[in-house]
Amino acid sequence: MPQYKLTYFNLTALGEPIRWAFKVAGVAFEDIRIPREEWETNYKFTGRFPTQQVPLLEIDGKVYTQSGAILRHLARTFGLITGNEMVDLTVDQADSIVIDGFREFQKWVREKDPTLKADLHKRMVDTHLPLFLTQIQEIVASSGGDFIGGSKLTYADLSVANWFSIWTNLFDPDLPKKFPRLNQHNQTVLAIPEIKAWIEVRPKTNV
Amino acid sequence: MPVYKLTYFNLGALAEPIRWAFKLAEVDFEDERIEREDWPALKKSGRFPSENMPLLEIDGEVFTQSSAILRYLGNKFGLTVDDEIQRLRLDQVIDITTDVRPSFRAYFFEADPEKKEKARLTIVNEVVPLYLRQIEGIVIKTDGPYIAGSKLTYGDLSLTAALNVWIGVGVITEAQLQEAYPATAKLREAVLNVPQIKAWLEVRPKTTF
Repeated sequence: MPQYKLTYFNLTALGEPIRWAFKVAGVAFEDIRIPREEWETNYKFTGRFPTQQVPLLEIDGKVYTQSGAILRHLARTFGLITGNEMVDLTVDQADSIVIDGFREFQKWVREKDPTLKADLHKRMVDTHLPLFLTQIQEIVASSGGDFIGGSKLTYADLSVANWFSIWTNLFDPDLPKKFPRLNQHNQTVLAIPEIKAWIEVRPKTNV
Repeated sequence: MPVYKLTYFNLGALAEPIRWAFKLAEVDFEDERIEREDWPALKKSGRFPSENMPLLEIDGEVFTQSSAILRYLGNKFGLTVDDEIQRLRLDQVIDITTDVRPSFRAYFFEADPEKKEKARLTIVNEVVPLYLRQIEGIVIKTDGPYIAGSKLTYGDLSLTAALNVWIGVGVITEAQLQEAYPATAKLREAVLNVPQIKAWLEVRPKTTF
């Protein structure tokens, strides 16, 4: 078994689905968390971070970037895929839609001007989340099972559930009511024993 | 063989690596191109689940998300490798070129000329070099010319199409690419000279990117 070391902020966000993959697989990993306020001064420009971004996954000391690539790699390693080409296309689609949502979320996070920030928040609630979550809910509803890929848990379930929780907490507490099938999906994933146990002990963070 | 229909703007950009995958596999597909001025109406027509393109229809079933589609076709058409770590690198490269896009969008949609030029300079001087350095670092891990060595994969198609966008919009020139990122330039050359892609480039609609 390779040695895994994940480096990210002390946040859920892009690091969390990766952590869940390790937890579900029962595979140990070092869970390094960088304090956000030290990122620009002590880490970003040190040369340790090839794209000056996190997360980073080190596998036996070799550095890999890009959360999506890392998540999909672990999914293949740990069997969090279905193996059916067409179904895995749908799984990949769902994960990609979540990332499109993350892009809009990131704009809001980065906006310093309070008026513009409030406007972005409103657009997230009124436009972006409905668009993305409607599509993801449609995929879940037509999968024929509890999960996006049917009866098998895949990496997209981790990523969808993680972000549904974040967006409910930060943007629209009515998301569970507006997207009942997605709420059901979220509850199912969060009830997976290894994920449930992890959520109980993980560092408590705003995101 | 399923019936494939790809819908996108009359551009290379996100649809182009998908088109190249079909060309390499010598599999037919309908190459629907939407004119810019027709898009606002179509966008809200209900045909586009994410109000976005590209769309791939497979026997009438609609799929979105360009990288999901590309990975699916890459796997289906054998444009991939078995080695897990190399697969991770392919996906890394695709994601890196995706990460660049928000900066481009900010630049394209900026109306104020001063801010627009500032955004362009940020892309030219900071964003593109940051990401190209990493891509070059990944490409030189093998003898090449491709990310996974001698095997052409969907990662190479995605990277080459992205580079063509960057060159097409003028944030880097071919000469600069060759000079600062020679392995990446060599990869792009190799992809553009693959016979089926070369033949397609000669006949495809001519667009800026």
